[in-house]
Amino acid sequence: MHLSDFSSRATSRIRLRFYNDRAGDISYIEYLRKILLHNTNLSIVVEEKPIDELQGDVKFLEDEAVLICSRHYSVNVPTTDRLRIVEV
Amino acid sequence: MSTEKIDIILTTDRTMMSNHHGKEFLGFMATGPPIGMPEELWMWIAAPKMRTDEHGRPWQAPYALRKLEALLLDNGYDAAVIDPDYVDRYLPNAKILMLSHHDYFALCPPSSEWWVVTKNEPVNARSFKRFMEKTAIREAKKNGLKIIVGGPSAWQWLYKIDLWSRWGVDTVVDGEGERIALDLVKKVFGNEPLPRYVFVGPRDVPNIDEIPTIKYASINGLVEIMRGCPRGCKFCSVTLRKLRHIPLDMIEKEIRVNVSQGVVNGLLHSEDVLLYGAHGLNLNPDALIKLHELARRNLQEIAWSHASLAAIKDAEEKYRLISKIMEIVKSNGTQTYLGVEVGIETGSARLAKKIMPAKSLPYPTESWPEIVEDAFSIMHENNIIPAATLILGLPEETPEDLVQTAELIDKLRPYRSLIVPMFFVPMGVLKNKDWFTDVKVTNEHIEVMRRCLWHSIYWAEDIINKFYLNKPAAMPLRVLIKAFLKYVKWKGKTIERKLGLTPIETPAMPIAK
Repeated sequence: MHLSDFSSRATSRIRLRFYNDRAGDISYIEYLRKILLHNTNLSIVVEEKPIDELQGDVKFLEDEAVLICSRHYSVNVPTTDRLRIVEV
Repeated sequence: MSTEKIDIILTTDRTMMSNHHGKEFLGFMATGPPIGMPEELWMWIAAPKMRTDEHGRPWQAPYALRKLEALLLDNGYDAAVIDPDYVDRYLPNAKILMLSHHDYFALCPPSSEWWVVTKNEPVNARSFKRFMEKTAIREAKKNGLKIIVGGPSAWQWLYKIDLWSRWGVDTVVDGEGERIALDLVKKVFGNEPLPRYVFVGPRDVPNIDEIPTIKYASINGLVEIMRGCPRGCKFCSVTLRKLRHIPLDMIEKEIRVNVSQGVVNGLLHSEDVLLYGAHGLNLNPDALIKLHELARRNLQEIAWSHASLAAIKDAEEKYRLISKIMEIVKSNGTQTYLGVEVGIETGSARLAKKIMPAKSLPYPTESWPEIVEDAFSIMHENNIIPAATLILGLPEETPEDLVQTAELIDKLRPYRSLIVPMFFVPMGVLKNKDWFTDVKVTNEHIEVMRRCLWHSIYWAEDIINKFYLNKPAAMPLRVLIKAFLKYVKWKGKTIERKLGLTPIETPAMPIAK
């Protein structure tokens, strides 16, 4: 999945939220850098939240979302039409 | 414990919070490390302390901070720009510290070039680090202070995650801040979590009616006349934004704010001043004449921030507009010249076609070197003094491109100007490309760089003596800068000898003026 997928769908804003069990750890920015620098069209907001809030957030999803998770990490989230899960 | 209270402190480090003795170009020295003199003296030349009132409010402050301050005040927040030497007294009671910078970590040109060439960290990065290491900031963080950073170099934080973490920066904002700043401030006041990073895309930039008018003086009277640029050069971030022309009444209002606070000179800011009021790339002579008449009515000295070389040629050849504008500029009887930054970027038409196909318009890219020379000639004849930039290490650059650039610099020798080579830094749509600093500096790069050096040394003394620092009050600065030039000349010759290079003695006669 690429950011350009969203760009071509006339989406002008995208939110990237990192669910993390280590509060304040921003090492993920390292992996995100290339994506953020590659983007020139979309407005992007990067947020982070504790992992234990994931389930609740999925439950009350208002917009379409993609959940990207490690295949080595089992995630239990409620299924919804608005959520697409991608294992990496 | 401090008793003075401001909820939102807007500030930056000393290299940005300075009017550079009223000479904007001296500010470029803040992008280098101290050379041939102690850092304190270098800093005094490049970024002397700003005069403040008893509350630490600076007389002049960076325009971006003034805009943000106006926005927050208009929306009822208790916010103020504070000089970096005075922030400690406000930090214990502040909720937010907002920072802006052109080059936080000296990764932008020309800082990055100074750094690579001298192997020493430029003073802008040193000064910013000193600011962020303040005990008062660390203490305030423990008490819940939120730090939001932005400005044109916000992207640099993506390369400095350790410092982002160490200094407790809460949010990095990349892009025009008017819309997002209020959202973030509301979140802080509502005890909501802040995002880590925000990139403001082209569709979320503010409209003219969302851009506030500054309430206090900007550095050297800088006033924005446009935002964005339609030329679409691939290395530039400004070109990603929507083009907006600031109405004349708003420009005049801001000029008057500056003048009423004693900043009597002004700098018209745009990526291409000559495109003010233009329809696409078709110049609008009427709008430009009105703009300069307005500036002349209100200001003692007028300067431009940037202009494109193609627009300079087009304006003069089609409308004699450069001559007309300079007649207006000189009509107060005291102003004799006008300074501006221009982009040559390359002397290769082939490379120009690849990276900046619209920069030459309305002329074909194939004639880029001729456009540059013609524009330099027009500026020379009209006492417009350009500080020109070149970009080295652009993606797909070949040795032949650099040879053509070197040849172009030789052709520009008769025209009064400074030419500064800069290393490619990935901005604009090229911002995901590799850094130049990963690329080997070739013999051709060295040839271009030393041609720029000798060209600029050749003209610098003339510019200093006759135009830039010709007033008696500028004598101490003039002496120091001349001593610096002598040192650079000596150093340049020493390095050339060491590398076994033949000294450059381009035969060129300055055009009499």
